[in-house]
Amino acid sequence: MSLSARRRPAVDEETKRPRWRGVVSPGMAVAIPVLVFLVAVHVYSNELLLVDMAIYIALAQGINIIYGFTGYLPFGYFGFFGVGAYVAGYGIVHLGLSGPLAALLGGLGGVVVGAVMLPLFRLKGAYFALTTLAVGEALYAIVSNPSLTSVTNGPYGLNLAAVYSSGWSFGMAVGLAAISILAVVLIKNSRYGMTLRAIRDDPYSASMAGINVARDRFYAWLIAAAIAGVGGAIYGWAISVFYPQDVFDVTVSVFAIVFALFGGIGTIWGPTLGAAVLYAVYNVVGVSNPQYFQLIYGLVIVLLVLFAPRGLAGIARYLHEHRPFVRSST
Amino acid sequence: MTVNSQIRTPLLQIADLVTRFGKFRALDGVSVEVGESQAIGLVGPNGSGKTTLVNTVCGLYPSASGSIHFAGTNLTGKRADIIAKAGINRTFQISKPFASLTVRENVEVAAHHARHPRDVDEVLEQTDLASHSRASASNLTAAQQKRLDLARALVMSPRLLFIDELAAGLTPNELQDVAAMLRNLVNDGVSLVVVEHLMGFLEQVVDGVYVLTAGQVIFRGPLRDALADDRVQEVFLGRNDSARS
Ligand SMILES: Nc1ncnc2c1ncn2[C@@H]1O[C@H](COP(=O)(O)OP(=O)(O)OP(=O)(O)O)[C@@H](O)[C@H]1O
Ligand SMILES: [Mg+2]
Repeated sequence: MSLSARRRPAVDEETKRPRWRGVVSPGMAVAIPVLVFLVAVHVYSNELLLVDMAIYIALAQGINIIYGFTGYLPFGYFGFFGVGAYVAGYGIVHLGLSGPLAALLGGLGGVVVGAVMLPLFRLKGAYFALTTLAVGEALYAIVSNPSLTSVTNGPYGLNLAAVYSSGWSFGMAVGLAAISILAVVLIKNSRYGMTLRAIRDDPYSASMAGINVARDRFYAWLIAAAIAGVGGAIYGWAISVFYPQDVFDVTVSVFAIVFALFGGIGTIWGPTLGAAVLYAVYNVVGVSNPQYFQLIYGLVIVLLVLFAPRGLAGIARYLHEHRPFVRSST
Repeated sequence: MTVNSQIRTPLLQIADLVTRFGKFRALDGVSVEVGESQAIGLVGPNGSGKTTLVNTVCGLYPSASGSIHFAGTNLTGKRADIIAKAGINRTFQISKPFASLTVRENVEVAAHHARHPRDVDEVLEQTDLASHSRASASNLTAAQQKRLDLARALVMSPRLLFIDELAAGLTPNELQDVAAMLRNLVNDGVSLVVVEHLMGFLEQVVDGVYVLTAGQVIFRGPLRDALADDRVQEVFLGRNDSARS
């Protein structure tokens, strides 16, 4: 049996992890999506759809960071997105900032809102998820309030057409997706990632291991908030005219969460693939009746959380480990 | 030799500690002192508050009143990570490994956050987990998971360790090994508070015991004296037997 003896088992006996995981290098997780986007923009005419898809990849990775690594699911994630769009819009309209600078300012806006929401981490599971939702809705109510028209332009939205630049906003969206994936790669392979997983597995044990649980969770939250803030800023810039309900839209949260869960949270590729596949499906089938998609995606969240918490990546691993035939290496 | 006579400046001084769950006082004014390099046993019937004492000192539950001083610092009401960094650590009655990490990573993550980390491999060796270091913590047996709790605590170079029922379910041979390992820790200068139901095991490890019942200390002193004490017997043997005295 010299042939089979030479073949390395596909699954590491001790860790039970398939060996191919080490083969696709983490750098590819960033490089491949970027290349796909750069090619796609030349062969596919709907550039705004590509911008949206890149932003959703970033948002799904943001959810991956906060939910996948800490176990906190923020339904109100769209709040950061909306604040990012508005802070950037304010910077463009009132401070005369360029789009890219305004996008960074939008990220800062997300971080500030994230910092204000720190006390919510005392809440558990569903309470946290729902309270962030309430905060997102509250932010919408404030921004769209007619009495604040002089600051936010109230219900009338913002017009950023003066700084519109399709090339730049596309580049920024793809850049944001790349940075978000890179953030996940770095977190996953770092001490910080190990710390976050320890916190998610057992917060009290983690604190007895010397981990400042609240602080380290909070950093992950701020990273996720920054991603959504920049995402909202780029989105607003790319569509150039938007109303409060366009950016403070719970659909943004639902989509980002479904995409991340569907692909597989806690993994590097999962949220990227989940966003690419499901957002494409949505655009082929769903745009004409978006209300059904909210319903369907809501159901998908429930089913995934209950039956396939590791998403596509988990299913792929399961099939790999339980495959009926092992291909011979010869 | 009583528990008292060994203490000059107690390393850990718990005074009048009260822990409430609603109206129920799970700890009802508990005072415990542990000296440097001293091992004490914490015994008492089920539900007497042993684990609650560990949980309160180690920052999981807030105390309603009382104080906890350790090595000259007031740790009352401090966060668990601060308590751990101050040099107190623990194992769990029901172990709590980081299930998504490997055995080695479980210990590494504690080493990363320790003020004075020990060598990870040495600790794995010491707790007899070296051969499992790459296995997922969730694949360990219950006894191995308890040793992993211990390894995670030890890598942080604690000065005081709470051991909550490490011996339960072990074979006599394993018991011997664990007792020897704990004794070695004490010889290396670590203080121990050992929660245990097995008296034979305790006898090999501790210098004295506290007997807890209904959240109160009813006896402190050598284990032998405890076993001969009328009140202690009453508590352990139940009401029926108390009629005999
Ligand atoms: N988190 C909690 N919430 C409510 N009551 C609790 C909690 N933890 C412990 N108790 C109660 O406090 C009392 C003491 O429990 P504890 O676990 O400290 O006992 P123990 O001495 O460790 O018992 P055992 O020998 O069974 O481990 C029990 O009545 C228990 O029901
Ligand atoms: Mg107990």
